[in-house]
Amino acid sequence: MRRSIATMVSVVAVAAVLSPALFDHDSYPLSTYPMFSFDEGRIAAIDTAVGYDANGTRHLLSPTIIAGGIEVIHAAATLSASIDNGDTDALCAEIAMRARSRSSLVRIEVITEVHDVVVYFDHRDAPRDIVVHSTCDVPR
Amino acid sequence: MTALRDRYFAPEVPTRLAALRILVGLFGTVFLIVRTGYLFGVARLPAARFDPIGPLWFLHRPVAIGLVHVVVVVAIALGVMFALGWRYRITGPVYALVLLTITTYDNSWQHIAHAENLFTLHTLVLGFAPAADAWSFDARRRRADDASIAREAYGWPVRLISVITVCTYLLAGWAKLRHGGVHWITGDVLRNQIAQDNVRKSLLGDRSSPIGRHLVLHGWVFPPLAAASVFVEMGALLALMRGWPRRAWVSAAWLFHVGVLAIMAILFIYPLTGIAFASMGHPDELWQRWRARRAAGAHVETATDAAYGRARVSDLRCPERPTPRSVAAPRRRSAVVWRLAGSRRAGHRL
Repeated sequence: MRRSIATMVSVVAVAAVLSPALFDHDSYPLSTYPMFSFDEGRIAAIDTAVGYDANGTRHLLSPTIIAGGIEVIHAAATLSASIDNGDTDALCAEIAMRARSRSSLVRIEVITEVHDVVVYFDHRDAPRDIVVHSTCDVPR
Repeated sequence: MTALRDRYFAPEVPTRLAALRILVGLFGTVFLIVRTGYLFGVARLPAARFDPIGPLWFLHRPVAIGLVHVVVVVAIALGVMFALGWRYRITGPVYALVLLTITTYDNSWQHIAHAENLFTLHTLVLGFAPAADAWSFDARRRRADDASIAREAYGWPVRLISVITVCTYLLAGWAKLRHGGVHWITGDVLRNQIAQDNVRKSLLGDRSSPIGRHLVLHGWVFPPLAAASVFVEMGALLALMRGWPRRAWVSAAWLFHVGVLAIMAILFIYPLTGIAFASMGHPDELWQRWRARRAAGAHVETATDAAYGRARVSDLRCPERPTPRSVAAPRRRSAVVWRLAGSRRAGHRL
């Protein structure tokens, strides 16, 4: 009897863990583990947000300022989701609120940059293209 | 099939499951403590960023920040009880479910991290298994169960944890082949992924991997690396075999995560600590051996001081089985020394 229950529990548990593969649906805690599986291409569009000081100098922003958490992947996912949902104005305002901690920043931009990612660190080329989704001022 | 079933249900001593409970419980507790800042940070995000998944699909809006604080603190306390095996019939399942809730909430902000899945699944198995029948406050209080009695109920949860680990690696390998096909191995998919990941980190103000930045300039490196990655992930079935195939796979999987850390600066802490693979070994025996060695070391010091002079550790560890090497020691041992040897029971577990 106990062995039957254990068998049932084991079969259900393993089937549940494997089930996302059937539906190709990533969730939690049951996942398809799709990390790094898609071909993103060498010329990649990367969503980001940047800040500008009063002199117009561009500054990179930390994941904490962009998305409220320390994880860079979370920040990237937040930016991409916002651009996909068309609510970058709201995200820009959120980032601007968090950017108040950096006194030099006066303006925030939510952008997408297109780079040749393979040679990016070798040549430090300017982006091939930049799309500005939203611009907002840092409140003081 | 019968042989497979017999192997899956082979009896096991309770200490193996108990060792997993302690390791996974400690990992989860420390993880929650370290993660507290992040958890509290994302809990303050606007409701528009909330995207509930998995067991929390029914939530329409984020819960109050105060509730998140309380649940995280309670989870940490439960994690300590889980690791200690205190009132485990209650704290085991409750901790597992609270951990599942917190990590689901943590992943419900438009991003699934994939770093918490495995240890949460392991915790769920352990939480509902009799994992506190040894090395726990419950076992000490009951004083009924002998840690050396092997039972079926202590064996299959350990194997289920291993099977779940294997499944997650198979899924990761399958995802690569499903989305990228053979091109994932032979083409530039991995190179582009690593390059993009490092560029993204750089643009988002995070630290990228200097090794990865250098490697992406050399395209020939990546097909072998991609083949090795898929081989490790799809080869996870080797971990279900005994002996060297399992050891080889665990070593390869660990090195795979070291490689991910080196090339992409991504820290999959659960496998890197080795705890993710602990069910495939015998952490309880490692602990017992370490304790026995420690006890033997202390013993020899005492015995040497007391009577023996040139006596060896092996002569003293197990007084019921004197060895021929004991000729270096006096032929007649004093009652004091035998008592000391007898008090070091751990020595017998060798």
